Amino acid sequence: MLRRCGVMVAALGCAMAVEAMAAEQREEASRTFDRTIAVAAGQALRMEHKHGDIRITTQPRGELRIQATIRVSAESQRAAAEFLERIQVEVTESPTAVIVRTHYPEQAQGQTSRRLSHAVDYTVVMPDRMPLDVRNSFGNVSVTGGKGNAAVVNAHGALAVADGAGNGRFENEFGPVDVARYAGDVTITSANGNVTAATIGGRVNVTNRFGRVTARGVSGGLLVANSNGAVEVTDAASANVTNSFGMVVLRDVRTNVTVTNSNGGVTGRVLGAPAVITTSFGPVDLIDIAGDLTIQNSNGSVKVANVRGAATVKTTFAAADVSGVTGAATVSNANGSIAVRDVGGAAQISGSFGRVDVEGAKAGVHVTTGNSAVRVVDASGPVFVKTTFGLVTTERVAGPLTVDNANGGVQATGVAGDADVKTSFGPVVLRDVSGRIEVRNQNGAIEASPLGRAANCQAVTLTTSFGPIQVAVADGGYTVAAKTSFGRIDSELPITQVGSIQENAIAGTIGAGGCALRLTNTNGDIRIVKRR
Amino acid sequence: MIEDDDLTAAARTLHREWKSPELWPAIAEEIRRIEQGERRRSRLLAWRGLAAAAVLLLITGATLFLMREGSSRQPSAPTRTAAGSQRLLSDDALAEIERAESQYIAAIEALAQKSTGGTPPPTPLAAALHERLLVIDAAIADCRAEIEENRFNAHLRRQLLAMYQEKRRTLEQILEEARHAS
Repeated sequence: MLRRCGVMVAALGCAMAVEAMAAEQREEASRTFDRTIAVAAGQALRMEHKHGDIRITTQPRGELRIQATIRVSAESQRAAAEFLERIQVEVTESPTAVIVRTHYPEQAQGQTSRRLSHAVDYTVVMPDRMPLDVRNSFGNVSVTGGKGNAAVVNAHGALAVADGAGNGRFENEFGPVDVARYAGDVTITSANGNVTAATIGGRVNVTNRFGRVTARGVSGGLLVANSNGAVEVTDAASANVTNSFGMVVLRDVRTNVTVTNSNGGVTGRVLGAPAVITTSFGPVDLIDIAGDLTIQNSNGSVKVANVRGAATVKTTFAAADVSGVTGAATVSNANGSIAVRDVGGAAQISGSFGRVDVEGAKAGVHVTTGNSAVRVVDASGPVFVKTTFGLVTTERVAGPLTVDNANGGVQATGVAGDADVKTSFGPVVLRDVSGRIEVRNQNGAIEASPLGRAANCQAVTLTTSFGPIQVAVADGGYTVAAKTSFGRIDSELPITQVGSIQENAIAGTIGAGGCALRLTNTNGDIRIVKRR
Repeated sequence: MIEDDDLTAAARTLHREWKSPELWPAIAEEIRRIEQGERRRSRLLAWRGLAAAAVLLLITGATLFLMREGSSRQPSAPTRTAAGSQRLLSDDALAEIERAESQYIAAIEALAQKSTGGTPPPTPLAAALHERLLVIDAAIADCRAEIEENRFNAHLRRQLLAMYQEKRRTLEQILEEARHAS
């Protein structure tokens, strides 16, 4: 007995010595928990945990294995061991669920509570068809495999899910969410964390704040509601994205693309239709749209190319550039330039304070703008232009041309139809017009050159004041009525005078007469030249 | 003792003065380095413990036997693990982190005073960033409350530092936005 006591005293002394040597260090104790349960059909796994990781995998058998590693550190081994024993992993079973809870003992206030720390990490292998419901905080959660429905709510840690099926609902707060290779529908809710959904067989619904959202390979529809974070979508059946203060990037979205952004740009490549993009204060750049496209932007530029349908674009205070539209193009801009090229349908353009440039519109052009120049080239169908304080230029218009300008010049070359031009304080130059010509100008020169095919009668009416008028006509027949108040009337072609001869007016015929040639001026010369 | 001297010398080299919010990389590196150092140190401590255990094996055997006999039946018996595993920090590691953390927080608070400054947010983006700041501060408060009960938990410390990193980024964005707006 004495001998035994001596041994114990010596052990205690030695232990104290060892403890003294390690007095600067904390002591850590750990133990493991391991339990296997046969799972009945219809039972779900529910876990409630905090301060540790949960790692879940699946297997085909009907067994649930729960392993936990429980760690405690304290200023002494004894304190660590005592606290360790009080941490409990509770497993309860009901007909509908196996419930796993971690119970941490209440810590006494004061020094003891500040010296103890703990962590419990779970490793779980569950039947692959077992539904899952996990709530964790201050730890990471990973779930791999599983064919049942899954719901995981985490906070302050990473959440990763892979190779699952069924319907998944995954929530996280202050941590990333990463879902990959999931066969069912997925709902992800996050705050302050990045979200990634990749290779999802069903629909994906993501709600996030203050984090990036990345979705790739979504076979079902994609719905993203984000704010203050970028959204990137690649290869999705459809996409409906709401965002603010973040860029939205779309690639290979097959149908129904809807983006509602504010204060962020939108970029898209190879998108299905209909595509409806709304944003502000950010650029929109889209290429290859399979059908109708509608863009509503403000204070941001728009660049669109290759739309196999109609395009409707509206923006302000930035450039709009639309090209390759098989259907009609309707573009509205305020305080920004507009460029439209290669439009299969009608081009309807509205602007102000920005240059308008249209090339290759095949079903007519209608431009209404103000304080800006307009250029229309290679247009088929009727062309209408209304502007102020800007030069209007057209080339190769296969249809009638109507220009209503004020304080700006007009120059048209090659009009296969009638030309009807009204302006003031600017010159008007019309060349190679195959139809009727009518120009009403004020305080500007007029130069007109009808194409003059013998078979056609091209009536010409030119009116101005304070500027010369020159018209170049062929030898065909015209009935001339020219008048000016303070200027001369000259003609290279012989005119057969009819009626009384006046100094500043002439009435007669060129050739056989017929087509009206009415030239009216106030303070400028009138000159009729032979078309060469 | 040689190891202690080495550690003391190493600790001296750890002392740094940080005056800017760019401390996060240094702190993150500190945590990694400390954890690596703790693993090395834990091996040294384990060796020292093993040496002591070898000397005292016979006389402590009975004591351990008696203690085990008296312990409650659990799925597995508690074991003394090497201090400084990655899940729980050691005293040294915690002290180092808290020192760096306090300096980082001080720098961030200075940045916060500069960026918030009591003026109302002039733009929608600034308003959103201020809202984000509130959310981050609330999360920091939650995390701090947990840390009060679990100070040596490495995950909590990492989370807290990640939140402060987010706060720093947000404050920098607020400053940037204020510059754009003015």
